[in-house]
Amino acid sequence: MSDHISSQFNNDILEINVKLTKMGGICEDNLKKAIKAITKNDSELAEFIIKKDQELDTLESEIDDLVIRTIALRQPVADDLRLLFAAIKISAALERIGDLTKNIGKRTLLISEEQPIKLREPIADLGKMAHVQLSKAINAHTNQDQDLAMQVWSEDVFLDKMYAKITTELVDSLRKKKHVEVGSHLLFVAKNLERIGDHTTEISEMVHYVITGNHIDKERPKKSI
Amino acid sequence: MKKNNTPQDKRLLKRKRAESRLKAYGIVSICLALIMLITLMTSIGLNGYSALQQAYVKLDVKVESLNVLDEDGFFSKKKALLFNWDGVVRNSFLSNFPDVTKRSEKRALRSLISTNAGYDLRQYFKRNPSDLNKDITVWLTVSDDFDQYLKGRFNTSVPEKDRRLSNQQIEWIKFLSTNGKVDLKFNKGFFTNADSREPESAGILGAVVGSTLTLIVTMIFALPLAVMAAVYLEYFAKPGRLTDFLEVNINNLAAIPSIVFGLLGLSVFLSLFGLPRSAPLVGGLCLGLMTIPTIIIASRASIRAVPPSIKDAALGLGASKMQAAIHHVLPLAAPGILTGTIIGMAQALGETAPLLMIGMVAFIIETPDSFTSAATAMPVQIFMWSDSAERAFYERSSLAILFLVGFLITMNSLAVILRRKFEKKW
Amino acid sequence: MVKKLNYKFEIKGVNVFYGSKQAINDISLNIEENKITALIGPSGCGKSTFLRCMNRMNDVITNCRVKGKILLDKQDIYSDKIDPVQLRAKVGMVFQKPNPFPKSIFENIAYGPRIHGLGSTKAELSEIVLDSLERAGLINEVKDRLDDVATGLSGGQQQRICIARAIAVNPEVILMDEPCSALDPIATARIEELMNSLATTYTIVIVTHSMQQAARVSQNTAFFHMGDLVETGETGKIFTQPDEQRTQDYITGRFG
Repeated sequence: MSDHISSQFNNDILEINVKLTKMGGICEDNLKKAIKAITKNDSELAEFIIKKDQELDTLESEIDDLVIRTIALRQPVADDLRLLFAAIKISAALERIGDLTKNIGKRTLLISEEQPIKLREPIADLGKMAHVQLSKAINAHTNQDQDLAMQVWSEDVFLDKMYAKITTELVDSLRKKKHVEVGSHLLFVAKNLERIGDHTTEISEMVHYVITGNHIDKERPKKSI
Repeated sequence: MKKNNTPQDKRLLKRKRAESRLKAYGIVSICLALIMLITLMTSIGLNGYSALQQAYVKLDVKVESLNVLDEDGFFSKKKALLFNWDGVVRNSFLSNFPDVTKRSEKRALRSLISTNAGYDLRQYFKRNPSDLNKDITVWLTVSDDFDQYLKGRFNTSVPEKDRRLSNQQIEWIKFLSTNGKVDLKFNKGFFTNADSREPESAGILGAVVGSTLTLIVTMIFALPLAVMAAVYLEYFAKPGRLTDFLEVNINNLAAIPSIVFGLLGLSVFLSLFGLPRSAPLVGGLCLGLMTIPTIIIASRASIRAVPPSIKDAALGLGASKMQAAIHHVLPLAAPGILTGTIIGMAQALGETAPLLMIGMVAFIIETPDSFTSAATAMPVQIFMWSDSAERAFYERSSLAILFLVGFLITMNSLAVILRRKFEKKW
Repeated sequence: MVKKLNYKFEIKGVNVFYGSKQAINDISLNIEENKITALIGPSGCGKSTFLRCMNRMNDVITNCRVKGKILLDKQDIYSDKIDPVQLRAKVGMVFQKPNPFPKSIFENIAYGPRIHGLGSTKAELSEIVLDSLERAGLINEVKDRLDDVATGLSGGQQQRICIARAIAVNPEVILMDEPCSALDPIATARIEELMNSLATTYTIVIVTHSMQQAARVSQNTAFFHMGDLVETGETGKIFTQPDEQRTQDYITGRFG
């Protein structure tokens, strides 16, 4: 998009984008660390991500205030307006992802025994996929890449499928009364990761909306549990 | 197929008819005015065109140089004055009629030539001294009655004793005419001579110069005063009773009969200040007073027409009111002021009454050479000529009227052209 | 740490009368240096009148009386020691309808410097003219036709000529009375961007009937209503969280 005649306007939008990018970076990094923490049972790392989440909350407030102020002062229309609207929604999604990541960290601290490898690996895989989706979604936003956004949106179905499989396995394990404590916590972790995937698609939906002005009308294929 | 019976249509038709009627009235009025103007101009023109020509008689003369030149070969005024030029003219003319011997007849014959012929001959040799001692042919003016007869303006049906030309004189004229001794040439003298008692030698140059000098005085006196007064009234006068009083008086001044200015000139400029009577200086001052209100009113209108945003812009830059007025407003108002001035001048050019009061009605035979020498003005000259009994002056005054009108039309056209040229679109 | 604010204008208790009618009711307002302050309010609220007090243009209007203290750099501009003509060189003005003189572009801009003695030779004036045109962002568009008549330019260009003309006399403050109301949106945007760059050097006060323009362009905003100063503050705050109900009603369009 080319520059506005008003350099102030350009600066305002730039500031918001910078903050969003920063937020996305922290989010991504935190998720990566959270997956490592849960699979390696690393409580130090877990403490780190719980503390880091505070920054995400602050950034979300800052972005909200900036967007409100820009709308009041610049009277944006068309793609500028959609961009600002998307900024609010994306920062909210990132903040929710941050919270879910924080919960994974909290769960890590709650698990006392060593997790059996059999149970840990699928979680790691699910986590990696979620992380990849998040990465792609953030990149799609930074580069305004519509195709990448569509990709994220449609590939969420694989995340859901993997989640279903893991859930089945975990429930199975619980039924057999094996590793009940760990299993229960890991169920929640898996759910958090699946929710992270959903928020990621929200981000890519917003990217699509900013670029085209239309909502993605195809129903996102959901694998019901 | 449109119906035109609805009430709207009827109203529309009525309105259209009213408009065409109004247009027709306008055209009729203009046509009437034009017809009257054309009639007036035509009648004057018919009377005046013949003044463009003057009858001259052909004479063979020879004048010895010793009568005219001094020892060093220069034109001697003293000798020229003493020499009997009339005699030369008379002898040459009478030589056409060898049979005429009686004294009274000779006198009658002599009166057919202009009394100024001798003077003209002297002036000729003054300009062409190389023609001395030679047999040359000169063309000299005939008397005004002769001239009028040749132009067909002489009323021969009147009984002889009431006429200015006797039957015999008319015979002589016919004789000269058939023998090619008389001809009608272009009346250069009309444009190069000053006034004279004899119509054949009378010209408007004196009056033209007098008018010009008077107008110059009028302009120098009236224009700066009027423009400065207008600027003061528009920009510096505080609104209040005094300013209103001034404005009312200025507008009244424009309506005062012009003769009152003449009386003012008589009592103040001539009696109180002792300025020379009949001078362009005094005439100019009187006419100037008369023109000042016109120029003030025109100037104020043009100054007001300049958009105030220009003045505001100048003031906003830190210009004083005076600077804003002089640098920006006046240059933009100049076309309007100029137009007003030209119209005022044209009015002044045609004014007679005030000039009569200050004595410019005197008979001046020399072209004025300064602002304080005695002079006359064109409308006054016309007035004086039309008062004369001689028939020849009648045609000359008609021509002078045409000349004056032509000059006025030119001045007013100039005003219109200038205004169009400098009009700016805001 | 609170940064000490530098006030260019300190205006205290100003009342303005047109004859017997009061147009400004006891208004006090401070104008920050090197910032853009916008005066907004409905028609007839007195903002233009107030603006004209700041360079004593109200002196030219008959029947206008100004009472109160208006301090420019701590000096009362209505005192007898101050010459209004000199004041107007220090506090320049740009008007609503672009009003370049019907002369050449060069002459338009050189006029002010010439009468204030900032330059007399052609070379000196040329330098000032080119500098002003550059600061007004117009230099590239007109540098080849400085002798063309200024009134032949487009509206937006004419208004920039007027701004360049005001800059040429080296003012400290530029007052703008609805400078964009006669211009199209693109020309308006250009001038707003120009104001932004000028604010680093000059103090700008702009009267505008467009709230959106005030929101875009100014750092401080003052809201006038029926001759009163209702509220003044930082623009972002006024347009997101005004203190006064009247202000909020006006900017949300709840009353005209």
